[in-house]
Amino acid sequence: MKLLEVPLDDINQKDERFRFSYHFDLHKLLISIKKFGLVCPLVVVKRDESKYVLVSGWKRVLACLELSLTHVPVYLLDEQDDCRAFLLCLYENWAARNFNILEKAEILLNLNGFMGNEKKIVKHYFPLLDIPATLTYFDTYLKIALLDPTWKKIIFKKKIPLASVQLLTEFSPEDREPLLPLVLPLNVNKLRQFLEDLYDLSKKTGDSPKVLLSAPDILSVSQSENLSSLQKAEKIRSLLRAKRYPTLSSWKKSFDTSLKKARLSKEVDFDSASFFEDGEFTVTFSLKNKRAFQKRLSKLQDLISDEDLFSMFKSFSDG
Amino acid sequence: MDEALYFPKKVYVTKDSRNSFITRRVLENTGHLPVEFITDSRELIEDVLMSRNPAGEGKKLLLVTHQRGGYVKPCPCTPKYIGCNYFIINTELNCPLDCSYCILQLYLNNPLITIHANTAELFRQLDDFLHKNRNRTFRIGTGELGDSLALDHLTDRSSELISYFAEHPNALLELKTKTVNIKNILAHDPPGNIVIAWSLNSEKMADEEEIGAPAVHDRIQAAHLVSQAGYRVGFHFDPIIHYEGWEDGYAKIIDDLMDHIDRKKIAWISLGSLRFPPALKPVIQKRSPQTKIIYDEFITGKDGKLRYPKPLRLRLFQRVFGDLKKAGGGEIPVYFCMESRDIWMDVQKKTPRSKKEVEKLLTLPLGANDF
Repeated sequence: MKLLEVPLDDINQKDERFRFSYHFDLHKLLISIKKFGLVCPLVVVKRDESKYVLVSGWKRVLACLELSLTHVPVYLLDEQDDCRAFLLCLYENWAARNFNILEKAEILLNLNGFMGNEKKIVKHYFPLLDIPATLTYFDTYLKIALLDPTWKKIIFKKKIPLASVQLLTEFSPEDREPLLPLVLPLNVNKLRQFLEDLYDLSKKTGDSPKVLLSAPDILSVSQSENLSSLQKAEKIRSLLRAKRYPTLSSWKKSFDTSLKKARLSKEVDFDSASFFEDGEFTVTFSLKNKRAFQKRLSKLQDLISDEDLFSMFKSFSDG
Repeated sequence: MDEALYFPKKVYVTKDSRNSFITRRVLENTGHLPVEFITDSRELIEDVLMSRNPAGEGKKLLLVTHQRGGYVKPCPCTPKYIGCNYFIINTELNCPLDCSYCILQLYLNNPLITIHANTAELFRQLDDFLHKNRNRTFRIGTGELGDSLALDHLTDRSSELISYFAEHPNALLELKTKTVNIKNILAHDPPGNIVIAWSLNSEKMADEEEIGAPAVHDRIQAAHLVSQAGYRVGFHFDPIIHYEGWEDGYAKIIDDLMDHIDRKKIAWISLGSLRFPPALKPVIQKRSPQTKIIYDEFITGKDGKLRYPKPLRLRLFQRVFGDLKKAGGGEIPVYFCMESRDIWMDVQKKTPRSKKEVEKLLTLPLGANDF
């Protein structure tokens, strides 16, 4: 490998054949380059007479561009085989850090392009990437690599776990489109529930997710001008949940209504563990002193004559 | 009766099993198929595990090998629900049938149809186990990690087991199947402590979800022949699946069952509703994309498995149990697989205090259903 100083413009920034990272936080690197210059040279190969192809160092290139540097130090790699050049880049990064889901997906897409031997890739490189060595995972990661950039950005920013991303890839691009504003405000757990409920509903009813999200009740929420995007997302999530679990949702609603009617103070909490599976209810209450304790007990004592409340016990525990 | 027997695409024999009696029998019965002798099965298993459909690919290959671990184990059942004190014998692993809901799809250490060939070790372990438990009567079976009879035309395992248990009357051997592969069973004298059992479902669920399994009526016909030959028979309505029209679907099968089987010959009937670990759901989605049964409403049970909410389970069980009684099966011992005390009480108006009591109920002489 030869160490050279080359004009930044001589690096073909459109040739991304070795690239697998797209989302960078440049902040710290910019400070470092400003203070000391680019300490670690890029790695490039020459593929035609005029331009270099970047093998390793996309983050550094982007930082140098932002700082308007004109020249950068590079190692010129004397390697004609693209696959070997890519492996060099892969191992260099692998030794230094962990890869996120999107990087793993891009790595596998590239390896597939260079090698075309999926079984070999699964056997040799999946352990390296900490992925279970099956072709099913290979397919999943290739689908992730083919997601459009907007979704990739969201996956990166929200650190969406693999199981949810996997679910997302099961939706067609047309079905994913209306999802974007709805899932964006949700946290990762709620996002997963949203996707799962929508997917299951679609399978159950035979309607596409796009059709399900065009139902009048959902449209009236998504088109409302009085709700924030978070409120819309939460409301639609609840609507989907109620459609996916109509019976359980109606039980929960009637349970909550019965408790509301009983007018319990905020300090007393009724809980039906595991969706009424135990046929038992737990009552918890908080107190600060003996007087508060007496007050809670007296309130609970009054509940004994609440027939509505106890009929609810019967209906949930006996069906 | 449709008797579609299973044959793999290729047989693999590990070298340590080459000379065992059961291997020779399997090779005789699969003479027309390619065979490969291998030193170690790990590479083969890894290769299948790597595939896009390990459970499906594994069904095409038959591995004859030694059982390295214990042959006899307590049935794992499920935590926090009432068990039935059942023991399992791991003679075979995996099943050529392809039921959408099958839990074996999740046990993927080895997805190949596997026959354990070190039979001498099997009987040594059984001797030990039966000697240790000589003062009790218990149930033991081979149908937990595979179908007890699906490979019987290749192994004739049933004959060996029946002959062995005929000499050990304190154990009730259950051979549990969905097949009609009963030729070897019928060729044998029926000892009193052998129960041949069938998993049953409604015709609709069997057609849609139990791919490769014979029609339910054919299973009942097979049970009829076996019971006519003098065997006791058992039935497992498991998993009972909730779908539109389930009431009629199961009632029809119960009528068919009671019309064809002498109830005095029925050792037990078990009821269990559809349940599965959450991790099985994506496997079912991938392997059985046509199924809708996983999109019903489930709760996470006390054991972490997804199951129907209790009121729905009660409806399913009360109806099926009621239909069984109505059809004249009131004296048949009925038990619930992996269910809570409440369910026992609400459906049968009695509840066992422990799994030992369930064991007692199921090992009592015929017709003495009382606990």
